[in-house]
Amino acid sequence: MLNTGQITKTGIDIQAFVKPIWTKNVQWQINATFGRLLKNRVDTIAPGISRIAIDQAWGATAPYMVHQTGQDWGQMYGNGIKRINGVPVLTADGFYVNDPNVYFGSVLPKYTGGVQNSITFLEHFTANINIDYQVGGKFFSLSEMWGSYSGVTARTATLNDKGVPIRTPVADGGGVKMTGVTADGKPLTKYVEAQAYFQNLYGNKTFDPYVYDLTFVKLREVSLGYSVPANKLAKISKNISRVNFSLVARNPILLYAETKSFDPSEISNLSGETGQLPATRSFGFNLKIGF
Amino acid sequence: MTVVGCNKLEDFGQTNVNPAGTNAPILGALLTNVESGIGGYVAQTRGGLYSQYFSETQYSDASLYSIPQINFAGEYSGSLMDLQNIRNVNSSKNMTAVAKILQQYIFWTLTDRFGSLPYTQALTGNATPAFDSQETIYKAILSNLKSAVEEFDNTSVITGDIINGGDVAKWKLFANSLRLLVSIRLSEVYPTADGYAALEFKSALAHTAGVIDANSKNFVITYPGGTFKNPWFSVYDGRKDYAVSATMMKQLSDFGDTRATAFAGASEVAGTTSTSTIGVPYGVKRATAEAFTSANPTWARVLRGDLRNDNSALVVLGASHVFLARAHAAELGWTAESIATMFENGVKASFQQWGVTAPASSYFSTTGVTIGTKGTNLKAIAIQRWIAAYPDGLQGWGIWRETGFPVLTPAPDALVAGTLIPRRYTFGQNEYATNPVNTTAAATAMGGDLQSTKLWWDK
Repeated sequence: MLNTGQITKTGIDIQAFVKPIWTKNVQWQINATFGRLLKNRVDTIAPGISRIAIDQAWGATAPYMVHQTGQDWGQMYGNGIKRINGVPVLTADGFYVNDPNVYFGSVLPKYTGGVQNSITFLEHFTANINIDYQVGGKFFSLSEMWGSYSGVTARTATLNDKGVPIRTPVADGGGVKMTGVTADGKPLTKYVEAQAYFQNLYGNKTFDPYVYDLTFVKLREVSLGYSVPANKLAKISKNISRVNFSLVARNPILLYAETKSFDPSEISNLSGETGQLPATRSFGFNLKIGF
Repeated sequence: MTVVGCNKLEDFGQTNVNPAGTNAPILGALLTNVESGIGGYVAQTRGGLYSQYFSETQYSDASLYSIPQINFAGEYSGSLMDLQNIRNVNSSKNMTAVAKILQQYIFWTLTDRFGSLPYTQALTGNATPAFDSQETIYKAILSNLKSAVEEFDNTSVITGDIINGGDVAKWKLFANSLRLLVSIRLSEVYPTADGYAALEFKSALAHTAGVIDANSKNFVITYPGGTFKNPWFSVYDGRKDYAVSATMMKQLSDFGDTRATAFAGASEVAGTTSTSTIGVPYGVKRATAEAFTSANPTWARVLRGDLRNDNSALVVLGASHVFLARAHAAELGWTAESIATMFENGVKASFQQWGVTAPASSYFSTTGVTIGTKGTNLKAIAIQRWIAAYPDGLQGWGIWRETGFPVLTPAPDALVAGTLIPRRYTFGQNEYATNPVNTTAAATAMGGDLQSTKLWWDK
């Protein structure tokens, strides 16, 4: 264990307050943040070491995160599909071929930020609407990998380009259509059985289909509160100074995500998720009474 | 908005000094640590799946030839570096020689899995060592084993030696015997009686310190149980993922070989004495394997239950392996020893090692177990070597690659239809991550970092 290394980091953080409506009956304040990482370069690691593997979502074969001198902090590399000029290389049977050193991208998003709306209306009501977002970056999903291997994810029950379920045998028009080139660069198109396709993504460790974009926009929290006016309280009891009741929804809606699979706002590791439980949506209420 | 971190290691002040760490290695503790892990090499299931000792019962994966992409760095930073520390301190010549011998054993299993690996520049503090060819590694292993035997001073104390109890004579037996097994592996590259491998073999066999020629001299780990368990106990500790393959059970049955009563148990529970003859089909997909095991609940578990207690002994290198290698060498004309005598000694030693009643003389006239004129016996010898090495899968896989016997049929349900039995592991991503230039160069030099790439000695 050694403390070592140097990074240079440059970025912009912008925070803005806007009060679009500010009347006696409605007071609406927006607090918006925007963060842009311009540079996050690894300058040195340790003498004689220019690259280290840091975080791996799972096992020894899932894509992993490295720091490399001269590159930005947190780049994802690892097992993926071998390509010639960007075109996947296929075996004679039509399966992807492994390349153990594919570059997938940065594990950090380019932009991050949030929008917090706070609205007070009719004197005693308060509404809060909070939105988070980020753009760019990559993560690996183990849930998707095993889920697809086992045939329980939606992608294992789609239609192929002929409109036939991919689970239907290739002989009957089903199967997954594979397009690529042979090892010597000749074009090859082939249909493969769906189960074999998903099990080979694991077996051949061609994990590209399980590396996703981190981009999302999420409605993180919505709440609506009501404070009982003091004059009404006084009629109930003179010992109670304050009563506030609110309804709260946590994680109500993932407004937008580049990936339609695992919720990218909830991953547990720097470089991905390891079969963690999905995020839960929760609804609740708060009752605060002050004496 | 620029954040500047620490530039030099000194900038971190005292934070890199661990007040609880030790700077003076306790050599006995290092040796114990390594020796307690040696059994792991004898219990690597992947080699056993490739050599068809075993079948997978539910998670069909390695036996369907998914890419065996394995990181080897841990073996360097762990056991090999511990042993290197013993050698670097060099406070006891005997311990230094022991460490050198154990390193060669580990390097041997490593190169037989991967081929080219860091050897010359390994363990020197170089974080990006160059890889050596397998030829270089083999020759260095044989040369180091030879020199290590001469480096014992016969007086300095060996501490922490839980395998041989500091007995120098036993270490010399192990080193000489290892030289026999390592050099016979090269029989296809150097087949002739005056070739490199034969000369190494004969040199080891003629050494005055001798070779392992009785089970009492075996290199064997006696586990205390508790914290340090026989690894086969752990394989079935709450699980039953592996079975004896139908391939192995059929071979034993064809020979009427009673070692089957030791090799296969009807229950995964340690300590049980029930045996099984029901090998599980090899290389089949999960559904097939599960259907078979549910229809045959007494399917063969690896080893009879009372041979994989947490305190069962585990033979790493035994008399049977040595005698059969000597039979093989005689068959090749490397030595003038009697092929039949060495062969029978080896087989009998194997029966005895497993506590099985010695085979009747009729066993040696069974089809496939007879020894005829020189030059016709490779198959019989190789199959007996394969059986005697069980359940050490790395050895079984090595013997199959070395001799081509037994003739094995690749997994029928291989993930990619038609995939042949792997000839090597592929380099883990970690090597590409941290030492990309050298790893890529080694891969290219070998003809590709593929499981189908044949090792240097594998013709």
